[in-house]
Amino acid sequence: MEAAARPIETFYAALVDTMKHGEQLGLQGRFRQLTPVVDEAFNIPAMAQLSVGPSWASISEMDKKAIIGAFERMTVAGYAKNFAKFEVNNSRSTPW
Amino acid sequence: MIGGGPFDRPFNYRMRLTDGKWKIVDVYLNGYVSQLALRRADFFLHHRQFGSFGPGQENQRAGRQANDRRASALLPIEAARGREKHVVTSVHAREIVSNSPMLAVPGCFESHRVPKPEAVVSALKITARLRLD
Repeated sequence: MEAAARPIETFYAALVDTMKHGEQLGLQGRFRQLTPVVDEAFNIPAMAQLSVGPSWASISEMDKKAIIGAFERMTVAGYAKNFAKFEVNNSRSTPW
Repeated sequence: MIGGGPFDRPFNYRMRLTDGKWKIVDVYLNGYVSQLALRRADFFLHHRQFGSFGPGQENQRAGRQANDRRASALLPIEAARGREKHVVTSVHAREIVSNSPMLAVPGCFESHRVPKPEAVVSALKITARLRLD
């Protein structure tokens, strides 16, 4: 179980580091920095295959590569966009 | 993940051992909203609307267009999650997603059944949204 949790911890550490420098890096910089991290932590080909479903078997290799590439870019872009900066919030008395 | 208040947003990760390495294959927002299920549902809708990539349809441009459209369609979902500004790096390992009985059934993940879009939308509707001012 510890071995399975390690990639997530590594990913979180890299994500937090990117967020801490998020404003200097900008969206493109965060995208570049997170791409290898996402590659290492996520099984992008498996995720793409499971997202497509049964049609995957009938798709050409070229299309599979295109889908995997697009899936990877979409995943990295999601993190780069949504995790733009890091702020420490010590006040937890107000719900939202 | 923390949304700036006392309500933690648990992220569960489904891991798979591939070539001796554990890798993430799905992320469950709030502990149970499967990102992969959302993307499968989206692909299913797109598949139904624009057709399939079958044998003899080896058109790379079409494949890329399909994914571009799919990626664009996902943007509102990504945006709806709000901007997470705070991250808690503690990871608690559990063998199953205990609050998702369906997902705890062995082999259910490998099933290629496409989830009903209505069910996914319903799940989204009952999911507490994060708002950061």
